[in-house]
Amino acid sequence: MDSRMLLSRRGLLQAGLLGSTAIWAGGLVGCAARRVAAPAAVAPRLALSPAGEEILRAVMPVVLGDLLPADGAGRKQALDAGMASLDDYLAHLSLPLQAEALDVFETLDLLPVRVLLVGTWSGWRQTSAATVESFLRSARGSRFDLLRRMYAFLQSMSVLAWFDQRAAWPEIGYPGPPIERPAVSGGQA
Amino acid sequence: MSTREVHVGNNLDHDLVLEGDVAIVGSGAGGAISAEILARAGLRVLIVEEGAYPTPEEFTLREVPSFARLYNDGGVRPTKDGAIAIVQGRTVGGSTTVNWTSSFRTPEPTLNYWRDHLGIQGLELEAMAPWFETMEQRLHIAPWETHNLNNELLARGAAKLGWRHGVIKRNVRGCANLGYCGVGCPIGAKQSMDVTAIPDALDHGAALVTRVRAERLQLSGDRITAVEGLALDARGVRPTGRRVSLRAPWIIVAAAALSSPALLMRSKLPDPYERIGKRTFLQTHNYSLAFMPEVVDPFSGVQQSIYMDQLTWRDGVAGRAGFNMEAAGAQPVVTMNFWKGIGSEMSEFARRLRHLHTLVSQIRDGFHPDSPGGEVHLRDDGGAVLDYPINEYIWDGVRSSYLAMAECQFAAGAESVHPACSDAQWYRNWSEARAGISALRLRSSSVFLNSTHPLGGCAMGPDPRASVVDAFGRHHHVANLAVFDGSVFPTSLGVNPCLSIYALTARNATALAERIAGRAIS
Ligand SMILES: Cc1cc2nc3c(=O)[nH]c(=O)nc-3n(C[C@H](O)[C@H](O)[C@H](O)COP(=O)(O)OP(=O)(O)OC[C@H]3O[C@@H](n4cnc5c(N)ncnc54)[C@H](O)[C@@H]3O)c2cc1C
Ligand code: SF4
Repeated sequence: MDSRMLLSRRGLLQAGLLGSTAIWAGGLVGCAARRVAAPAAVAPRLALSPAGEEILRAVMPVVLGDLLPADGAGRKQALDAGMASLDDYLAHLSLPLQAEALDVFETLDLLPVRVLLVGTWSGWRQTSAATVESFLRSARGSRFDLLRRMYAFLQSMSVLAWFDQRAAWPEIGYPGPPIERPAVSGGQA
Repeated sequence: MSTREVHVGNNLDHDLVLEGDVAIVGSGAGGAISAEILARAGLRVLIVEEGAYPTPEEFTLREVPSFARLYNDGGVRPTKDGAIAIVQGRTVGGSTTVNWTSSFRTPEPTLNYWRDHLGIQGLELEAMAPWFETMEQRLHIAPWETHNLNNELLARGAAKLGWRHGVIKRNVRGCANLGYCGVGCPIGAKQSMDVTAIPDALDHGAALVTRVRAERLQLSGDRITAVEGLALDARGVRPTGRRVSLRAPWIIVAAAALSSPALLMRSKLPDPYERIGKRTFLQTHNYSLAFMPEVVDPFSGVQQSIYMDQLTWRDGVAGRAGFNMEAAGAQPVVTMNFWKGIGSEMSEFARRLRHLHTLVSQIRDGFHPDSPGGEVHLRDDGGAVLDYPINEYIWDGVRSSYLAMAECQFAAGAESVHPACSDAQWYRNWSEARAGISALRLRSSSVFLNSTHPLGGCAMGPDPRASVVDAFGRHHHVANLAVFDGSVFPTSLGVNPCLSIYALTARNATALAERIAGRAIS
């Protein structure tokens, strides 16, 4: 179903969606520190919530397509390193911006949003790549600025998570930095 | 040289009080040049900086951890409606530590506009020339002649079209042509403030306090008695509970656009005409991508060494939005961020990265009634947010510059061109691009926009009803306060701003030093 129709027809969802991401979408009003470190599902995280991690682990392969390693171990390593690097990145943002990121993830993880917007009853982890892709494409072209912003946010998180990894470089012809320096973050693969 | 006095805020286990002659907030272009001039005049200078103080050896050359550590909000400080990402440094040296070294004098039409329309005296071309010369010598600013292909192609396209273009001057010494300026020069060749004016000020007795955020200026009568700051943790995110107080008879605010006006607002300084935070400009940047038949390798070699300014004043200084044009190639994360495709669009694009040519246009704002700039507001937590709605005037600049960049890229031999906008397409020749871009729907979040040049918000001018400080950076209502940074410009500039900030600061800090010392400073 088209997310545009849903958003205009379903006042409830619209209010809920816009309401809960108003900070992220409508501007950085209010909202200083909230709970920033949530209990970790996958690895101890500083700023990336379990919901955020689950969503990004579903989105990243769709955004990056066959740039990610095809084999299971390579792919797992790419996703693990990407999440660690994003966590380190998010943990350096000001608290209001960290809270906005959490808000987006929380919203996208709400059952009504998943069902009506993404088109899945199951959690992000179980959602097929095809479903995630059609959600991303409709968000990109949406007439709602909020959805276009969500698209831009998820897409650029995926870009950040992948293209700074050594494993990404041979495929795109980037030789890497001319000087070797030790890594500073857990996410630097 | 005695040992340098640096207090690391995140390591403080007690509150800190320092006393001196001048306290400076911010160690970027304006703060560092002020510190050097005042310390050399024999004054005890205290500098407070929110960022950390990495050395060139500690720069990692890796994009994501560098954006996290060296930039404010990871390089994506959003405007209120989220349509534009503001990019600013947050480290010792401020944005100069991560900037791309392109150095321009303030253009004459801008200086004349300030004089003729805003009544600003003393900043005419001849009056400013000695200050530009001084700073060009101090920071080894000279033309850069080794162009990578990304820049060469801009020159080629501009030459074909008969558009005026030229060679950019850069503040470097022993530059190895690596092209990693945006993540901190790993060999200290870039003459950024962290390796020039800050160490020099420290060698002349200045004290630097890092990882401390100035929260408030303590006002008593018409004077400020202290800068009150909060020490932050190692990431610069949460206050540790330690307080820092800098006491001095003279105070300089140099925290940059957005943050300087926000500090004045948090301190509830007198603002009878509500000017603080108004007229904040962005020279909004938009981008055009092209694939070239030859290998461009946009990620290596000096990023910017050619400019094109044929269209900056295309309709007169006060006419339609004009823009300049420069190359914008960089390492993969920055470059790939211009492209909003997914799946096969993404992988096909990324696999051709070596052939990618990228241009940026900077749309000057502030010279037209329809271009009043944005307004800084305080969030509940005291941080700054810029309300900068994009109106028709700016969209006209976006469309015109998309057209000009595409025309230039096809003239340089591009096989295909795509504006950095998710609603656009790949165009295969100039006439297709002209038709496509003319009809393109321009809307926020689909058009990729950012700004590395936020300016204004503490505008200078002779009239307190229209400005915050005078042309010497002195606050109109607080006797011992000056603002010396990019926030004092009353319009954008039409060029990359750093050298303009260095030169104006050198002039104004020298005047302040002479006033305090009661004698001429050479
Ligand atoms: C990626 C990038 C590339 C650029 N490239 C170019 C270029 O090629 N040519 C050019 O001319 N210009 C360029 N610029 C712009 C130029 O560097 C800036 O305009 C200039 O440095 C601004 O000087 P400033 O003194 O106003 O502030 P900044 O240099 O930004 O310094 C402000 C400092 O104040 C600190 N601060 C802020 N608030 C507080 C507080 N409350 N307490 C303590 N400290 C605080 C900040 O952490 C920062 O270090 C670039 C900028 C960026 C980000
Ligand atoms: S191009 Fe490389 S060596 Fe030259 S100043 Fe920039 S980072 Fe330093």
